[in-house]
Amino acid sequence: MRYVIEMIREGWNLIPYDPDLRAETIRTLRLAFESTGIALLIGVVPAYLIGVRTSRPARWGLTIANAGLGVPAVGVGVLLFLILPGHTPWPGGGLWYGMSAMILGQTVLALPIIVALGAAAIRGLPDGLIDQARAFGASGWRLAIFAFREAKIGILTAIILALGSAIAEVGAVTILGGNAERSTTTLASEILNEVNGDGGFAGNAGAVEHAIVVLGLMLILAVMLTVIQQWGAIQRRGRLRAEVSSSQRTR
Amino acid sequence: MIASVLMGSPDLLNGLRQALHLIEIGDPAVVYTTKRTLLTAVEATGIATVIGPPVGCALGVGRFPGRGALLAIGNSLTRVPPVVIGVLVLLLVTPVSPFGGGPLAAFNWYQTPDSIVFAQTLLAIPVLIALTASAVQRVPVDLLDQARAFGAPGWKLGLLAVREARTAVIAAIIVALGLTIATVGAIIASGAQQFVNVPPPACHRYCEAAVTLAVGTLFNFRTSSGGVNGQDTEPIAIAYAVILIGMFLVLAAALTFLQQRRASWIAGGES
Repeated sequence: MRYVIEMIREGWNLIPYDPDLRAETIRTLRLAFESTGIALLIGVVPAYLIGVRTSRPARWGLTIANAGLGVPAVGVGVLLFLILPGHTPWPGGGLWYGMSAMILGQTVLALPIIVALGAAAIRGLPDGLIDQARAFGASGWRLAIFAFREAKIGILTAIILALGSAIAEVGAVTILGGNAERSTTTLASEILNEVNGDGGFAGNAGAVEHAIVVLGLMLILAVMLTVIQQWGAIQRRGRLRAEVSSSQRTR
Repeated sequence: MIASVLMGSPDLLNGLRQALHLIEIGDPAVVYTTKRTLLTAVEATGIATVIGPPVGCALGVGRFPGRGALLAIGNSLTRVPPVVIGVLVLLLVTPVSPFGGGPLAAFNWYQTPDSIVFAQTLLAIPVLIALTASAVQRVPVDLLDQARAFGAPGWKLGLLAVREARTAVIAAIIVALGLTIATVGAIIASGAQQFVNVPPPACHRYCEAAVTLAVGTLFNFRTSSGGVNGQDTEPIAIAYAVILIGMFLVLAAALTFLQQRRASWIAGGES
């Protein structure tokens, strides 16, 4: 047990003195926010359409999005690497390598999260809410904005989960970016370099150091998620109370 | 358009052709790695299935103080990154150091198949707990209350709840299988991908055969590695990836079949 405690202390002490840590953290956050943002831009329309419709294509879309949640990240990485133009055995040119390829790969992984959870959030709205809005004359993008405003808790949850998956991701990111130190390592993939490259005491301490930072980021996301869900619970309770009081009034 | 991009990519076509050839002739590295993957996934999921669903069931339908807090902890444990689990395993099983060995050093798991199973089990347990808990919570409350009123003891109540929610519990086990097959972070961060020394060739870091298909894909397909001993190892990485995606498709089909439109690979995502 003393070994574990010493290593955690060692890793913690390393954090202020690691010259690369700052750059790696910025790279990780850039990967997370850019990929989630792009996935949100692409996924918002499919999520809405799948959410409000019950046609056969919509059901298939939901099935595919749900299945995509479990797609092996290394498989996505290999496929994209082979399709993307501009890569050579040694990364020397072209558009799609390094950070841009990593962001694209993570976007592909984040897209099912946004679509599946976003659609589920809209489907989970109280029965008839969308129909009621439609009856009041809302249509097209007004109806979409209404649906997303009502389902905002679910959408925010999806965004947080997508950010978390980007922070934790190593498979696709390592294949697409090459995991080269000082240019394409993220906090999580640097752990692999520390364990396998340096190894021994120094490598393990470095791995623990990065693990602490990654856990810190995940903790921030977890707190945000808890706050959002509590907020949702309060709102739901408020809506319920309003329904009860209005039904009493009609009686 | 997508089809034309796929068809027009010479790397993809060549890679796939070579990879399919390797699978067809039954390359020893491919056979070994596939076997290891299935073995690891089944062992890890099996152990996790013994631990996860009972705990999840207790948290889902039990009535004891602190249940809500424990459930919240179980849900957030599903989001611990695999690499962090890997580092934890590494610290636990390290045999020697200036400060003595890790707490589990006595098992001699360091850089063995057992440490991989250990890491993947730790990965799968929270997922099984969270998914089982949310599954038994969807069982009608009236049914459980009735059983309670008839004086059923706690474990029988749990058994009833699991039997009612069996489809979702089986789906949870499939999700755990998928995770243990596809996740690389925990294995590589635990330093355990180095144990393989199967024929061709005895390998350490950049090797053809690997402990699981996903790890093999990663290590044989690195932009910076350039192959083993000057040999191009990309075809075998693509072969691994093809088998991996095949396994994923089988699991995804099973999951879709089990839970029409309710399939969820992410725990805690449906609230």
